Amino acid sequence: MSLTFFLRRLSFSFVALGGLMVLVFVLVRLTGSPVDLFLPLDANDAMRRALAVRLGLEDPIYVQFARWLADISRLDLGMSLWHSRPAADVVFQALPQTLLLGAVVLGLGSLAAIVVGALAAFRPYGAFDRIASAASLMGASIPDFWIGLMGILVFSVSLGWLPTSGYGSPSYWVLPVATLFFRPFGVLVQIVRGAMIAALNAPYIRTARAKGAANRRVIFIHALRNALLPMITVAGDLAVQLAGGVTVIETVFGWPGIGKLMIDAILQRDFAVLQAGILAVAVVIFAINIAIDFAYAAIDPRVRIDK
Amino acid sequence: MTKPSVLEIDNLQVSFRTSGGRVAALNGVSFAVGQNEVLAVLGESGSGKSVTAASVMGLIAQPPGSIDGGQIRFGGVNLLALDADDHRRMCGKRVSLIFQDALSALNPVYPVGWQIAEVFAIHGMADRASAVRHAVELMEAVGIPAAAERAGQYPHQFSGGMCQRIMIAMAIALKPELIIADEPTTALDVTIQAQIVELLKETHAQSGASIMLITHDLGLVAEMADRVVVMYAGRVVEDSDVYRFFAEPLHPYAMGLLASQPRIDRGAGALQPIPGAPPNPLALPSGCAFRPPCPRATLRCAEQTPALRKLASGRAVACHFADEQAL
Repeated sequence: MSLTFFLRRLSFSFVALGGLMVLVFVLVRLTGSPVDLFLPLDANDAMRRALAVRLGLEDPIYVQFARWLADISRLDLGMSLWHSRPAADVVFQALPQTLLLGAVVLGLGSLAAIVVGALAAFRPYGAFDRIASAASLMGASIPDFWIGLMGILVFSVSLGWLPTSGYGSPSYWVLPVATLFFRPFGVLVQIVRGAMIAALNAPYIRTARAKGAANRRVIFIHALRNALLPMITVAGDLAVQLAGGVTVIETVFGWPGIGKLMIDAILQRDFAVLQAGILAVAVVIFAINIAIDFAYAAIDPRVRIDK
Repeated sequence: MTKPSVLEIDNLQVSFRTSGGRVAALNGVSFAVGQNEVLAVLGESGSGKSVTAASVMGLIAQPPGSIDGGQIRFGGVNLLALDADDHRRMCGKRVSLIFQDALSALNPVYPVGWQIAEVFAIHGMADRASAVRHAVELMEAVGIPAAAERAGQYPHQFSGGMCQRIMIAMAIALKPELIIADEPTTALDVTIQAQIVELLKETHAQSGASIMLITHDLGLVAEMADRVVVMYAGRVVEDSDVYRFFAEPLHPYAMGLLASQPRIDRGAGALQPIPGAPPNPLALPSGCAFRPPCPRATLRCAEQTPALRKLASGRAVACHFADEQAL
């Protein structure tokens, strides 16, 4: 992976990001004006007009956009109307909670999927494979909000072992992580299993065995590295989904993450927070995609673009 | 046979479980590879030649495969009686395998030098640094230019012929007593085939290793082999030295094979194909499997499976009527 390739990716991403920001900027303003939400019901037109002027909403939209761009160039993402704090502060408080949750979920899910998928592939249609395949299919299919609600019902309400919602000590992490774990785990087990079966049937596995390699070496050195490629693609996809915030789960568990923040910002017409949030998530997604490319190149020499 | 044998296969029976039932791939195969000998195992697809090689290398996956009987004696030891780890430790070291399609037989995500050096690592024959040095020397020995630089490259950066050279380097790394070459030239262009055959002959001459050459290419047999074993439907039907095999094949199937080869001295229209299709392994005919297309078949062939009989000439054949032909 060369520097020029990285820079090319970076410039493409900037173009995409620019387009996205224009779209977001226009779309959020179509949802309505914050003025109505912020003034009492009996406010008169003059008061509405005064607030709109103060917020800069009376200017033509391209002027507003230019002003926003100029602010960004000074790393100023604007003030949150609702929180009365810089939007950047609000976003950067919520984003790490989501990213951390996603990283824990995806990390555990990937590790478990590699182990379970590889073991299932070693004896296809054996007892372990049948159980693992059925369980992973179920895990990938059950809606996570349902798992979350059932988890709260059983472990928080009935048994009282875990808090129902909120953010804090490790016990607050158990239910959200467990709830989100099943889908990435289920999806990735299927991917790893399929890729490992294909890899274990590949001619180079026969070569490795003919060289006298033991099972452990055949599976973990020769087959797994080939099987990881499709897994990385799918795991990257899942990472992108998690990075955008798991709104439903954050709502169910009162998790102070970016997904919940964005939904609230839409409802509150908090344009600055919404714009800052989308910008931040887009940058994270860009970083994830670059990381996937690097991981690919690290694992498979055939996708290295320049020597 | 006068020379002592490296490998003796005795009445080997292998079958596979398939959706259509149990298929017998080998129905009692017996032959031996002598020291320093090049033995060609000749047969059509499905005749059991690759299954034989896989059995020697312990590559039959069980299930679906199953080794139902017989012995494979290598250096006096029955490989089938060894436990899997002991069998594995012989593979790559005392007996090695060269595959048909070298590009896909090499692992795409590791450098070729690493893959050659791995043979030393697996068998604990050298430390890391000297294994890498040996790998480069082997690449030079099999005729790969700029071996030191190319050792760090990956299989997809090599041509098919170069990949086959790398396979050969891997196979000769630990100076095995027997090299099994499973259709080593089938996937290559004709000119590259000639180079690889040349390399195999050189390797044989220099190392003195025995070679079991699995092929359906009569030209390759004529070029390299000392002796020929012909397989048909999971049995050995003829075992003969190469000169008399080509001059005067004994088994009707072997005669059919030679007659169906295009020959420049016979002119156009002289090709005589073997009639019918290869036998269905799920429904072999009773008695001799070659009975349906055989011009000499009689009722006896359906009732009695001909055994592989040694003739006075030292050749062996599995046909009731071969005595009449063996002059």
